[in-house]
Amino acid sequence: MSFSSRFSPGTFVLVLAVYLFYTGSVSEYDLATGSVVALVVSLIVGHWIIEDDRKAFSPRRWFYAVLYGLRYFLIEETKTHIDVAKRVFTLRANPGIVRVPLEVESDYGRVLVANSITNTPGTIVVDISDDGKWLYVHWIDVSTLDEREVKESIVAYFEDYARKIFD
Amino acid sequence: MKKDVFVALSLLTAFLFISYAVTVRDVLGIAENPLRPLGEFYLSHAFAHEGLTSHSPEVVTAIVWNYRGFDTLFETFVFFLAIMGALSVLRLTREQGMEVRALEAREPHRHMDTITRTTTKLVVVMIVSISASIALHGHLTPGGGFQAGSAMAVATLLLFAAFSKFTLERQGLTLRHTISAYALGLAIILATVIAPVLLYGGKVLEIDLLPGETGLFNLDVGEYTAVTFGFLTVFLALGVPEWIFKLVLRREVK
Repeated sequence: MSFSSRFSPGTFVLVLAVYLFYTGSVSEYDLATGSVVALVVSLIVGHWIIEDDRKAFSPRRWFYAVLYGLRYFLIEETKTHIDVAKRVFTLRANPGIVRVPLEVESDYGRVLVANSITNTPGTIVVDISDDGKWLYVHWIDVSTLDEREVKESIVAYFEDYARKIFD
Repeated sequence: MKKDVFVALSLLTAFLFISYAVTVRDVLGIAENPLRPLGEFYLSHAFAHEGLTSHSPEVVTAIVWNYRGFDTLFETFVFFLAIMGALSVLRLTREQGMEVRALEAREPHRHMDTITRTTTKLVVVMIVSISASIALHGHLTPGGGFQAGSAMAVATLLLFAAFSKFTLERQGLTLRHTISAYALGLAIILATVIAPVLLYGGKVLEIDLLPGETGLFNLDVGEYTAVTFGFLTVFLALGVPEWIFKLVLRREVK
């Protein structure tokens, strides 16, 4: 295996960024040791975590990722927190497990959708089908069993962003 | 259920009582005397230009590898003996090892679902980076070889759990590699420990004779390698499914 097919710049940047962030300083010593560590790690794992480096450095994808982060944590989280807080006091709950179809192609996209669902209060991803096309979600308020409506109320806009960021 | 509540409450009461006694009533007499002479010695000498210094701003690492360096050195040997003990209890001959691998290859390849695997991938790479930072920065900020090696052991455990031991072995990571790497780590430690005697005519472990922080840096890196691969060796040895192990040991397989 040649150097260029093995080396992944995306992994290199990720490892170096984590190294510097954890070390908490950007001196010459840190840059030198961090680069060596990042080089070794990215040569060992190759394209295991980042399959396509052009995607990892695409500004458009990063823009959508930041936008998604802001929208998710500021708006969606607040809405569902308020909803679940109300349920705690009124004791209105109709729990059950529903099946949600997924249309994202990439693994990271699926994980983003699944973890976004789990992180919002009231919904937890219980399982994912082996082909990655279905999510099984425990939902605090099963108001409908219609696939489209379930998807509308649980997955919301997560999938659009997941596709824009990772697919 | 009632028993749990009782236990929790009595632990809480004990904790509050001890905290009150130690902080407010000062039963141990440590409040008036925040820095003892020995502590003051370490703090003022660990990072000094002359005298009994380790050239390190990180006092904990300086104490661990220099002021009480023999203790750490012997701890490393104890760890070595433990791993050698585990390996000699679980040892297999070459033919038995091949039988084990053949049996393992016949097993279906199982791993966890997409979400767990993808998250683990990212987390493992980050843990590797962080552990390297703990080790290479161990002589400057809190950290050190053993802590970093333990963090690395967690990364390999995550790989074992989310993927499988076979995934690692199919990538070419075998017991022989991990033992060699472990030996390399120990060799770095021993070389650094003996270097003052051979190069500068000092004593064993007198690493402040070495230029600057080289001594502590080498010891941290050596310990990092040794602990990482020591743990990995044990994990790989213990990771053989028990029924395969027993089957091969009892020679019931031809």
